[in-house]
Amino acid sequence: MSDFLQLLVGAVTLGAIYALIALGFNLIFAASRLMNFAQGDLAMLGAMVGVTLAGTLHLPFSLVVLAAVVVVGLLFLAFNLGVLRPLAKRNATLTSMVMATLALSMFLQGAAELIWGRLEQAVPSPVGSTPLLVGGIVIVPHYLVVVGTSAVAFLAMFFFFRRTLTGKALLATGFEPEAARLVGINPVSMVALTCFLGGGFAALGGLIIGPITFAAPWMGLSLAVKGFAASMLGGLGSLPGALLGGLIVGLLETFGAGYVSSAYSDAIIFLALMLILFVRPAGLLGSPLVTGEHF
Amino acid sequence: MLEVRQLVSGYGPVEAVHGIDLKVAEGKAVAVIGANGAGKTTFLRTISGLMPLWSGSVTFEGRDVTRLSAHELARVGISHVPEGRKVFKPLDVETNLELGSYSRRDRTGASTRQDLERIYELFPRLRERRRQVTGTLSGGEQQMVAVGRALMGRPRLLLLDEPSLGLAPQIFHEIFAVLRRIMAEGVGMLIVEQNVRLALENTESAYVFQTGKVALHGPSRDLLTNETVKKAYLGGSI
Amino acid sequence: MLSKNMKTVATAVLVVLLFSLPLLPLTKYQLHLANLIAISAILAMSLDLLFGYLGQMSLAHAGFYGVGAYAAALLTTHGIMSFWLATPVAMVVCGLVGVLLGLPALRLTGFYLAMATMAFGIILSTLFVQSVDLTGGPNGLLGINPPQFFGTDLIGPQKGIVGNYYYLLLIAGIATYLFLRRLTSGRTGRIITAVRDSTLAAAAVGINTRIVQITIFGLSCAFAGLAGSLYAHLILYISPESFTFTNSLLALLAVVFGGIGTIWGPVIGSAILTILGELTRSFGAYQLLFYAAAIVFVIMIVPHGISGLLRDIAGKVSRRDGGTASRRSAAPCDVQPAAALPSFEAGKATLLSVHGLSKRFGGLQALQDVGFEVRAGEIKALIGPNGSGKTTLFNCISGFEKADTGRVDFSGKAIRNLAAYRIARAGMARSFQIVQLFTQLTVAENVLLAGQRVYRASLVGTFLGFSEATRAERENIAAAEALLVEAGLHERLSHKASTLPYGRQRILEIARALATNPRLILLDEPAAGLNTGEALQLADYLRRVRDRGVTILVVEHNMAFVMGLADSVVVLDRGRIIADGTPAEVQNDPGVIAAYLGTSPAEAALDA
Repeated sequence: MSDFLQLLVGAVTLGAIYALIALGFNLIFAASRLMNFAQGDLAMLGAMVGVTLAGTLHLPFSLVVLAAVVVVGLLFLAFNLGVLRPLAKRNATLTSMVMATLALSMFLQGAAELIWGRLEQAVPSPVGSTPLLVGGIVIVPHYLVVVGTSAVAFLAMFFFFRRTLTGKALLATGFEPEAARLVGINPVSMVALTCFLGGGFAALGGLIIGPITFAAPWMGLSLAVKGFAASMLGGLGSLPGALLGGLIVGLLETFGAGYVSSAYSDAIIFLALMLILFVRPAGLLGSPLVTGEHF
Repeated sequence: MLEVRQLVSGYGPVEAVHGIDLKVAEGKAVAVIGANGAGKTTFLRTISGLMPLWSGSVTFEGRDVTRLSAHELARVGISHVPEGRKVFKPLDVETNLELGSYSRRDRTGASTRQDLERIYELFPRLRERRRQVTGTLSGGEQQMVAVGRALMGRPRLLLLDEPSLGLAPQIFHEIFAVLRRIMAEGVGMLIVEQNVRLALENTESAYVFQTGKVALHGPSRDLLTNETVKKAYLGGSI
Repeated sequence: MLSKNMKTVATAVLVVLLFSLPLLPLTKYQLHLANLIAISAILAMSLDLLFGYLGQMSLAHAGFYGVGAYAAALLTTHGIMSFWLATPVAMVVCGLVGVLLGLPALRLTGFYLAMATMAFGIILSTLFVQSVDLTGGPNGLLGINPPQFFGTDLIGPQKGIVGNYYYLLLIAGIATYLFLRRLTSGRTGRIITAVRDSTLAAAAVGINTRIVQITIFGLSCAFAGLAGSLYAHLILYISPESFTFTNSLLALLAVVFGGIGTIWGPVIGSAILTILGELTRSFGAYQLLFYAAAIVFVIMIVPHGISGLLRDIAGKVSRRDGGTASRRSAAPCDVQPAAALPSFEAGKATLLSVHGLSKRFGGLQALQDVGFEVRAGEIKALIGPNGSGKTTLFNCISGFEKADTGRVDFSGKAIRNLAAYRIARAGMARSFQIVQLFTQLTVAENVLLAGQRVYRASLVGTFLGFSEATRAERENIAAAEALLVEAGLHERLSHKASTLPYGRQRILEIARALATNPRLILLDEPAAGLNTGEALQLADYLRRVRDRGVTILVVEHNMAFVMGLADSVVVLDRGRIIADGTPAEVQNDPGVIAAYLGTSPAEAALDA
C-alpha cells in the first residue's frame, strides 16, 4: 500500500509537469490551430535558464521563474512574428508551418548544446532536498513546488477562459478566425498572446522538472512527445483535457515503471494513447467540433 | 453614411470587382443583387476588410476607413453578418452573443447584460437556448445567433451576406421582421441577397451587379417593376 | 512544362547516367552514399504516397522501415530463406502491420492520426530495443548475410561489389517509382485524390473509402519495408537507433524538401538531405542549426519544394518556347464524339419506399416513424422547417447515417443501414447541402471518377494498359463529355473544380452524381444561393434529367422552385411527416402553412 502511495506521489508530480507542457501546447493550438513540435525544446530552454540563473548565479527562485517564463515566452513570440506570420502571409500550408516549428526545435537543441554543452546539469530546487515523511511516504519537498506551480497555472487559465471576454475571444479566434475579426478581435494579438503564454508555460514545466530529472539539451524530444500524448489524450485545445491528460501520462509512466519495467513505460503510455484515441477520436474531453486540422 | 468610390478588388490574381460606386444614406437599407459570381460577396468582404482592397476608397460617417482592417472596422460601428453564418460553434449561444460586444470599447457588465436582454427580446428562441452549444442549433437559429452577435456591437451600419440562405420561409420572415425593427431604429443596412424579391421589398434602394460592375441602380420599388430585373431575377413561375 | 520529346530525352539521359554511375571514377564511399540515397528515396516515396496523395501524415514510417529491416534480416540470417524471397516477405509483413494499425487509426484524422502513428512508431522503437532475443536489443543485429546473385555476393568490402548492390538498388528504386507513378495517376490516382478531398463524396459515388485508405496505408508501409530490407542487406548490421521517431521526421523532411505529392520530388529531397547529412556530420551541434536553417530556407523560399521550383523553371522555359500544353490531362472533348446518355423506363412503379423510419440523437428524436414513397420517373420534393430532419432523412436513406428502426426499400431491395458506397452502387446517387466536390481534381475528372464504376476495367488491366481498360476509359470519357455538355459545363473541363463559381459547383455535383448512372438521385438544397434566373435554368436541367427516366428526390426551401418543379411534395416537421401530396394540396394544407410557410401560400410562393 505504501509502495502504491509512494508511486502515486511521484506520478502526480510528473503528471503536473506534463500537464503544464500540454497546457502550453493547447494554448498555441487554440488560437492558431498549429501543432508545435518545439514545445519540448522550449521546456528544455526553461530548464537551461534555470541551470544558469539558479545554479550558476544563485538568483532567488521567484526571479528565475519570472526570467525563464519571460525569456522563453518572448522567444517563441519572436519566432511567431519572424517566421510563422510571414509564412501565413504567403498562404503557406499547414505542413510548412509545422515544419517551421520542427526547425525551431532543431535550432534550440543545437543552440543549447553550443551554450550549455551536451552534459546533464543539475537545476537546484528552491526548497532544498530534505525529504518529508508523511505517514510512511517520502515526499521530496520539490514535489510540492511542482504541484503548487501547476495548480496555480491551471487556476489562472481556468479563470482566463471561463470568466474573461479576452479568454473567450481567444477561443473564438481558433474556431472561426474570420468571424472573430468581424466582432473586433485582432487575431494577430491573440496569436501573439498564446505564443507568449504557450512558450512561458513550457518554460515553467521545464524549469520545475529540472530538479527532478536534470537538464540537458536533448531532453526536449521526450518532453514534447509526452506533452503531445497528454494533450491528445485529454483532447486537443481542451483546458481540463490538458490537466487530465497530463495526470494520466504521469500515472502510466510511473506505475508502468513501478509495476512492469521502466523500459516499457513509454510503450505503455503510447499504447494507452492509441487505444483511447481509437475509442474516442477527439480525446477524453475534446469536443468533436474541434477536430485536428487536415494536412 | 457609407460611401464607396471606385472600389476594385479580387481574390488571388483574379480581379472580381471592377470599380464600384455605392452609397448608403443615414439609416437607410440598400440591397445588392445580381447573378452568382457577379462579385457581390467579394464587394461586401472588401468593405469590411476581410479581403484586400486593390484601389478605390471607403468612407464611413465622413471618416476614411479604406485602410482599416476587419477588426478595426468593427470598432467604428460596422458589423458584418458573414455568408454561412460563421457562428462559434463549440461555444454556447450567450458566449457567442457576448463576443459580439468585443468591439465596443465602452462596454461594461451592465451594458452587455442590457444588450443581451434586447437580443433575447428580439429573438425569444435564443433565450431558451442561451446555454446550448451553438453548433447543435438548427440553421435558422444559428442565423439568429449570427445576426444577434452583430447587433451586440451596437452597429450603425449592418452588412448582411445572404441572410436567407438555406432557411425555411418561416424563419427568414422572422429574421427579416427583426431586421425591419432594427432599421426603424436608424441602423443602416447593406444586404447582399439572392432572394431578390425579399431584398427589394425590404430596402429603399438597390444596386444590380453584373460581372463585377454596377449594371443598374435606383429605388428598390422601381426595380421591382423594372422589366430587365423582372426578367433576369424575378421570373414568373418556374 | 517541357515538350514531350525533350522530356523523353531528358529521362533517357538521366537513366543512362544513373546506370553508368559505378563506371565513373567514384570512391567507394561516394558509391556507398549513392546507395544510401537510393534507400532513403524509396522510404521517402513510400511516405509521399500516404502524405502527398492520401493527405495522411505518418510519424511511424521509420518504424515500418525498421520492421522491414528486422524481418528480412532475421529471415536471411537464420537461413530461413534467401534475400530474394525474404524481401517480398518483409514487405508483406510490413503491409500487414500497416493494415492492422490502419484499421483503427484511419478513423482518426489530421493531428490525431499523426499522434496515433507517432505513438505506434515509439512502441515499435521500444520493441526493437527490448526484444533482445530476437533483435539483439540495443546492440543490434550483427552478421547479416550478404545477398547473393548467382553465387556471387552483391555487397562486400570491394568497391566493385558495392557497385553491384547499387544496380540492385537502382532497379528497386525505379520499379518503386514507376509503380507509385502509375498508382497515383489515371483511374487509381483519381480514386486516391477523391478520397483525400472528400470521403463523403467519394462514398456517394460508390467508392469504398475505408478500403482505399487502408490499402494505400498498407502499400505505403510495404514500400517502407522494402527500403528496410535493402538497408539491412547493404549495411549488414542494424540497430534500433536507425528506426526512431527522429528518423521518421527526417523522412518527412525529405518529402517536404523535395515537394509533396510528386513522387519524384522526395527522391531529390532524399538525395539532398543524405548528402547534407554526410557533409555536416562533423559539425556537431552546428549540424542541427544547419538543418534548421535549411528547413526555414525551403519553406520560405521554395514552399513547394525542389520539384515545385524545377516545375516553375520548366514552366517558364516552355512558355518562352511557346509551349501551350496544360499541366492537367487534355480536355476529353477531342477524344470521342458524344455518347448517348442512358435512359430508364419510367413506369409508375414505386422506386423508393420508406417505412416507419426512426432516428434518435441523444435526447433528440430526429426522425419519428417516417414513411413515404417515391415513384419511378417522378420529381418529389421534401420540404420542412430548418432542423425538421430533412438532411438526417437523406442521410439515413443514402447510408451516411444509421437509422434506429424502420425499412427502406430501393428497387425492391431492402437497403436500410447498408454502407453508403453500397447504396450508391445499387443506383442511388446524391448531392450534399454543403457542396462536396473533389477540389483537387478537374471538372472532367470529377465526372470521370464517378463513371469509373459504370465503365469498369480490371485493376491489372488498368495498370498494364490492356486494351479492355483503354476502351473502358474511352467510353467513360465519352459519357462524361455528354453529361458535361448536358450540364453546360463543357467549357471548363480542365479547370480545377474548386475554381468554378458556387452555382456551377452545385451543377457539377449533380452531373457527377448522374455519372454513376443512378436510378434515383437525392439533391440537398440544389437551388440554395441561386437567384431566380439561375434557379430556372437548374429546374430546366432537372426536368431534362427526369425525362431520361432518372427519378429525383429533392430537399429545397425555394418554394417557387419546388412548386414549379415537383410532381409531389412531402413535408417533414420535427421529424414527422405532416403532409404528402401534390404541390397544390400541400400548399393549402393548414398544418404546412403553420409549420413551414409561415404565411399564406400565395405570398410564400411570391417571396421565394
